[in-house]
This record gives sequence, C-alpha cells and structure tokens, in this order.
Amino acid sequence: MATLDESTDALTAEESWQSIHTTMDNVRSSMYVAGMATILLMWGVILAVGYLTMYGVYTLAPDFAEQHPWFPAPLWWVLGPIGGVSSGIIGSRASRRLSYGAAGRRAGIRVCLFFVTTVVATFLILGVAGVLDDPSADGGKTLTASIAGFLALSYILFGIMTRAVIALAGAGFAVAFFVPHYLLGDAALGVTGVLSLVVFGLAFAWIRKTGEW
Amino acid sequence: MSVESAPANEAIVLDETIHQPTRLRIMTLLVSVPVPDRLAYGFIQQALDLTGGNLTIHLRKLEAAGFLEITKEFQGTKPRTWAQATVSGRRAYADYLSNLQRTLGLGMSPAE
Repeated sequence: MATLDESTDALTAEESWQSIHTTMDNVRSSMYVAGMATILLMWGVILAVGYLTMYGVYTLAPDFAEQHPWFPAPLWWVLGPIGGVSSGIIGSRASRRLSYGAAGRRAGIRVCLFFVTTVVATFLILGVAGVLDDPSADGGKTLTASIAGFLALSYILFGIMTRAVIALAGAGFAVAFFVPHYLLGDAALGVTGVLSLVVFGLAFAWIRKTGEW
Repeated sequence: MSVESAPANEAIVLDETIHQPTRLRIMTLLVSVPVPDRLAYGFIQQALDLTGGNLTIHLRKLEAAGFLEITKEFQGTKPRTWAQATVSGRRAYADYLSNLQRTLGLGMSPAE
C-alpha cells in the first residue's frame, strides 16, 4: 500500500482518495436539500391544516359534506400550490445563502423538476385510473389516500437520493396517514392531521438540533 | 513531501498545503463547483462539520497559498463570507489529484 510521509495529520493515499469521494458526494446532496428543514415543517403545517379542516367539516357539518362531496378538492387546490410555491421560495433563498453561481441554481432546478414531475405523474396516473372522474364521497376518499401515498413516495425517493431523514419523514407520513385510515374510521383524518405535524415537526427539530442529516 | 509510489517506484510530490485532511476537504468542496461559483462560509462549515475556528485557520492557510479568495459582502442587511477557488488553486488541486492517482495506480478522477 502506498503511504504518505506527512509528519502530522498523515493521510494514506487511499484515505485521501476516500475523503475526496465523500466530500464530493456531500456537497452535491447538500445543495439539493437547501432549506429542507423549514420546507418539511411547512408541509407538516399545510397537511395538518388540510386534514383537520376535512375532519372538521365531516364532523361538524356532515350535511354540507354529504351535499358537496367534492369539497376537499378546492381545499387542496389552494393548499397544494401555496405549499409548492412557498417551497420554491424557501429553497431558493436558502440556496443563495449557501452558494453563489451555477451549481446552486442547477441543483435548485433539478429539485424543482423532481417534485413537479412527481405531481404531474400523480395526476396522470390517477386520471388514467379514473379516480379523478369519481365525484362520490368514496371517490374523494380514494383520491385523498392516493395523493397521500404519492406524496409519501416522493419524499421517500428524494430522501433516498439525498438525506435519510427526508426519507424517514416520508415513511413516517405514510404511517401517519394509512394506519389511521384503515383502523380509526371517522376519526382518521383528525389523527392524521396531528400526526403529520408531529412527523414533519420531528424531522425539522432533528435537523435543527443536530445539524446532521 | 514525497510518497512511496507502488506502481512507478518513484517519489511523487504532493502539495503539502492541500495534503492535510481538512484542507483537502475544503479544496475538494470549492473545486467541485464550476468557475466562478463561490460557497458561503456557513455552508462549508456545515458541509464539512467543522468548528468556526478550525475552518478559519485552514481557510487562511489556503488563502495565503493563493489557492482561494475570501470575500465579505452584505446580502441585504446580513454580512456573508464567501470562499472561491482561484485558478492557481484549481491547478494545484488538479496536480494533487493527478499525483494521487499515480500513487494509487488509477486513471480516473473521483468525478468520473
């Protein structure tokens, strides 16, 4: 094995090579996750607001919910774009604080394209499956569950490519949605709303406290 | 500094300024972004998990060697410190990498 005769802080050639690899991997993924702690917390709040609003309408105004089974659609059509645009702004501002130049911009564009692609794919798949054409209450529940599944999947995939805590937040959200969905009946959306905030809030707190990903 | 080279059995000179664990990682970070990109002090500190004092010491050594430039400016009302690899710094890093590859008997850079 080749050795380097540095008197202090000696590195072998292999260690130098490994250090270069690790650092390059780190800087690439660091640019992709700029502002992610705040973005995760924001989505926790948005999901909690959405699910708790739905739960409130189903519980407090069941007649309205029965007459207007499509009511979750406009709710999420407002919350979703707000979350998407806010994520872009937060990520862009965070990226400008970290780096100046083309690398940060390219990373931001790639992250944006990743999530836009998952949103477009979600609606294409649901459209082909006929879920978007069903105006009944059951159709609305299927749509809500499908979108929750795709949202969790997008975070898991993004986290696998960047940082584990993001994938864990996605998996945690899937558990927060689907376990109550199948076990708790009418109370499911209320529990999911609270658990969503807890899951994404924990991810935010973990990143802020430890600085580790 | 010399290296006992396995493949060629010849002394290979590695730049002492770069061949230090922390400075190697700093230089790798700075040359991994294209010219003329620069990286924020806080980003380097976070990405490499360094204390402020440690990072400052090594940045100064690299700056003294002419391998990077440090600039300070205000973004809005907040002061920001930026580091950017110079042309000579990128050249020195490329030479370091080349010599390291020769030491290891490799023909590819980590980026490849």
